[in-house]
Amino acid sequence: MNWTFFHKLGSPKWFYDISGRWLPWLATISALLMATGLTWGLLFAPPDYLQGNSYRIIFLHVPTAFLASAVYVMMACAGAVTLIWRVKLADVALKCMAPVGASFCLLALITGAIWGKPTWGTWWVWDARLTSVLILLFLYIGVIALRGAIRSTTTAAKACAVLSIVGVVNIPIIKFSVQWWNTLHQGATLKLTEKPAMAPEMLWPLLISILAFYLFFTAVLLLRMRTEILNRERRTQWVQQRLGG
Amino acid sequence: MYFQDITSVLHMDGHGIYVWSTYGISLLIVAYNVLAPLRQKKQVIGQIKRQIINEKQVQSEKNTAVKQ
Repeated sequence: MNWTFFHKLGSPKWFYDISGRWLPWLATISALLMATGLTWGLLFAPPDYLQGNSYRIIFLHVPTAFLASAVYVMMACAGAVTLIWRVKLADVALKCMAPVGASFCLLALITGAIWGKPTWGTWWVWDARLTSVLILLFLYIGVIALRGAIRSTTTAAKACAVLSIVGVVNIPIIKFSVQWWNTLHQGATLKLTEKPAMAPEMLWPLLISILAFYLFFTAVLLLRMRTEILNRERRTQWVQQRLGG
Repeated sequence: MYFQDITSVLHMDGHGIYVWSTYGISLLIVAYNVLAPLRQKKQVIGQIKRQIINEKQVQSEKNTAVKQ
């Protein structure tokens, strides 16, 4: 296997340059898709036969909840790369993913609670799905706080990598909580292996919103990572050349 | 559009308050995710530029001291 790509990706300078070219495209496409998906879902999709118009929260709840879990898995992968290969960029990614993932997790909890009120008659129940997602938010906050508490960048990188990897055990619990335990939360709406149960006029805006939020995440992650790279590499010649003018 | 007029868009058969509040809160969090890193970028670039200028000044002072 050709590992040149992997090593290039690990080079902060190469990453800084290539991400600078991707960023405007990612930002524009995600903004357009988000506007399309959310306007479609909010104003044009038909109401649900059971839940009425409150189901329109799905176009925000599902993308943010997907991302909350996916970003944590990505953090665990970045943590593994940091520990095994000591790729500096992996720790930059891990650090920059944490606050974005935390914000999506918080948003998933808030949109879920607001959706719960008209649908279940309550904002919150201590059931498996809701509690495990709340634990996910605490894990995100834990990773952010842990880094803040350790002065040495190398030690902080190792500690955050370990916490991210250990915390990933919560992800299958979130995923299967709706099957393993009795819960108010409905089962998965979208399944990779089955035909979607949703009508296409509801499914399309949902898929567009999910794609938009993933691209949005990628764009803001690149934005954060570029700043973090400049900060960490400020003593290097290439940063001084680019900013010294 | 599914809705007939602006009132029914806002009211959404009694669910308007729930739907619109989630969209409002999401807008705030999305905006935070865009603005926070942009602010940070400005700060870090400012710091590094100041550091480069300071170092250049120190270097040129050293050079003049050596010449004298």
